[in-house]
Formats: sequence, C-alpha cells, structure tokens
Amino acid sequence: MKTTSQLFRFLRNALEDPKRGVVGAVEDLLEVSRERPLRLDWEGDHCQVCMADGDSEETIDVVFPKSVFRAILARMATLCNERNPNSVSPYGGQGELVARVNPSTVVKTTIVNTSADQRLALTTETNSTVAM
Amino acid sequence: MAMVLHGTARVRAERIESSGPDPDFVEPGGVARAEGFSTYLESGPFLLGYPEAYARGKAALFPHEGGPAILAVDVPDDIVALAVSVYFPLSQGIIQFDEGAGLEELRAAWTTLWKEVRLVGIP
Repeated sequence: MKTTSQLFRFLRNALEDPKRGVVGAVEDLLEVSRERPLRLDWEGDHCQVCMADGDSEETIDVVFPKSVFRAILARMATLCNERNPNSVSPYGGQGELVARVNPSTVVKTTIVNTSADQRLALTTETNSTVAM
Repeated sequence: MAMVLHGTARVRAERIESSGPDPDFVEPGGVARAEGFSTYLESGPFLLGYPEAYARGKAALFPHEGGPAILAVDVPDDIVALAVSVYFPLSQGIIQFDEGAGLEELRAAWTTLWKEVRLVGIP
C-alpha cells in the first residue's frame, strides 16, 4: 500500500508531466483511485486534488491547463459510456467504468463538465466515498 | 491540411463559421469564458466521445440554438502543430486550440480556411 504522499507525487507527475497524453493521465488517475477515493475540482487557475485517507482528507493544488481537465472529464465520460452506453453525457453525470490497467476494478464516477463548473469524483466498491 | 470537427449547437457553429472561435464567448447564463476551441481530427480516434455526442449534448442544453451541428474546418498543418503538446499528442486525435497554443494563429487565418456546418440528426 502506497502512502498518501507517494500517491500525490505520482498524481502530480501524471497531471503536470504526462508521458501518454491526456488518455494516459486518465489511466493514472484510475490507478490511484483503486487505492484511495479521489476528488478533483477546478478552482480558478488550478486543479485541487483531494484524497481520502481513512477519516481524514488531504488536498494538493496541481497546475495544468483547464482544457486538459475538461479533456480528462470527457475521457472519463467516454469510458463510462463504453461500459454502459449513454450513461453519462459529455457534460456530466454519474456512471461506472473499468480501468484498462485493472479491468477487475469497477470505479464509480461522478462528473460535472460544464463551462461554469468542472469536477470529478472517483471511488471503488472498497473505497469510502469522498463527497462531491 | 487537417480537417478538424467541433460539435456544438447550430447557432454557435454558424457564428464560429463566420467570425472564428471566440475565446471570450460566454454561454447564456454562464460566467466562464470559452478560452479555447476544442476539436477532433476528422479521421479520429475519438477518445473523448464523438463530435455528434457533443453536438447533441449542447443542443439539449440550449434547445433554442437550432439543434445539433458540427463545424468542419480545414486547418494548415503548421497551425495544428501549435496545438500539439504532451497533453494532446496528435495520435490521440484531439486538437485543442488554446490561447498561446495555436488559437491566435487559427483566428488570424480563419477567413482563408475552408469550413462548413454539418447538421446532426437526433436519433
């Protein structure tokens, strides 16, 4: 089991210096969500990443373009729709998806992707929920 | 040249067709600027969903904007290259024109580019 700081470091690298584009960044987010519930919120000019650890939560700010975050949200919606067609619109909704790196884990996904508001929450059956 | 597609509502597609993408555009009832112009290569892949789905989604959110439509634009390769980044490699099919990443050059060339609005059916 990785520590919260290890997971945050992995996420920061995945979001600030991706090696496989926005699609790879999404796979990295899903990998972390298998270990801890995640919530990402766009706040002004950066992304606030919140990770639950037991009863507590820790948050970091990650800087990357807003268009990238909206693309991440759109990719998540697409993966939800691959599992259950039309379950999530490009502009938001709730659905489930499976990560390509670990198809046995179902990730519950809540997406808001409008011009005014961009948010994402990821949990698994074994994770506790992080409130949106 | 690369043909790129932008799914939206018909009124917006026609406005962009005539005036170019507007980073200062704010949706009715919204507060945030558009900032960029999101497109796909016509050849795909469509890893973030199909342009038709964006068009239908936008038309559903704004039912008085003429229904779903796709704006197709033929963009020179050197402008497309400005939008390529570590986040948006060409291989993933997403051409994201942002401020400082091709949007200004796209707007400057806009009147010279071939483009058309394609109406999208509602299944």
